[in-house]
Amino acid sequence: MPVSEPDIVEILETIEERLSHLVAEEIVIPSRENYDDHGDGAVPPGPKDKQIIISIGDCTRVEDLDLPGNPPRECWEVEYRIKLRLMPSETDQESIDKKLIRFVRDVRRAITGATAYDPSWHTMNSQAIDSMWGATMQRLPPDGTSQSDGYMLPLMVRIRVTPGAL
Amino acid sequence: MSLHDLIEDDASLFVSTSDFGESVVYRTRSGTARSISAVVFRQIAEAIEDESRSLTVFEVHVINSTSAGISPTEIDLGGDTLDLADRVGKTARPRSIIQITEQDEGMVVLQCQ
Repeated sequence: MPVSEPDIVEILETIEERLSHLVAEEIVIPSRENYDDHGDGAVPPGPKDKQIIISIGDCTRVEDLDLPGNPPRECWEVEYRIKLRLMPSETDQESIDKKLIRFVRDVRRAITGATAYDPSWHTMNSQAIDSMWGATMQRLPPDGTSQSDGYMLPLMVRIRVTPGAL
Repeated sequence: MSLHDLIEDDASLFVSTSDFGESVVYRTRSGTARSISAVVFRQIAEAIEDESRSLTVFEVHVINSTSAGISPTEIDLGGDTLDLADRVGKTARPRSIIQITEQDEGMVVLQCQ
């Protein structure tokens, strides 16, 4: 009997959809540098204020959560890197730390259920067996150019797939 | 004529679209826009750490002026953009001004991405 496989791309799209509730922010899933030939409406995602960049990081086997059977299921932990960037106006006098922490809070809330906490947020629409935030929210230092500041929020998502299906 | 005046006069020659310059659009964070002449150096794409991508870096030379170019006093590094094509002949797109690298009475050099 065919087994429905979780798809890490669909999980990426689920994360994107949840973050789309933050209407003031721009969500970027990186593509090739010169992608801006894709029609007049496309704008290259250069550094901007209130920008969220999502990418897939390392995939790690979690053998303790494998399941025997026919077919057997192997567990993988996929890291989704959610990078938050703030680039406020030079005339903005509000503390960057206050802005950043509010931004982090809003993004974490959006992932875990947008307006209200969703107890099944961690299944990513029944694709994952578990999801958890990474142990560290890394503060990204200013790069010395613009007013850019940010955080990197790692989101660890565990899925079970048949061997070779990832 | 002082050296100061000479520098200002030379700036408009340097960015002439008949020579090395091209027409670009400067957009402020607040939404106003104007067309100006600039010399654009398209550099090698720079990898952005943690984002799994790279973006072209542009060095843009403009006249120090609030009408024919851009004045450093009006630039907001938190959202002003220049419409630039990452390859000559392609459609220009807004690129964020991320740094003022040089400035004098005649010219302003900007880094965009």
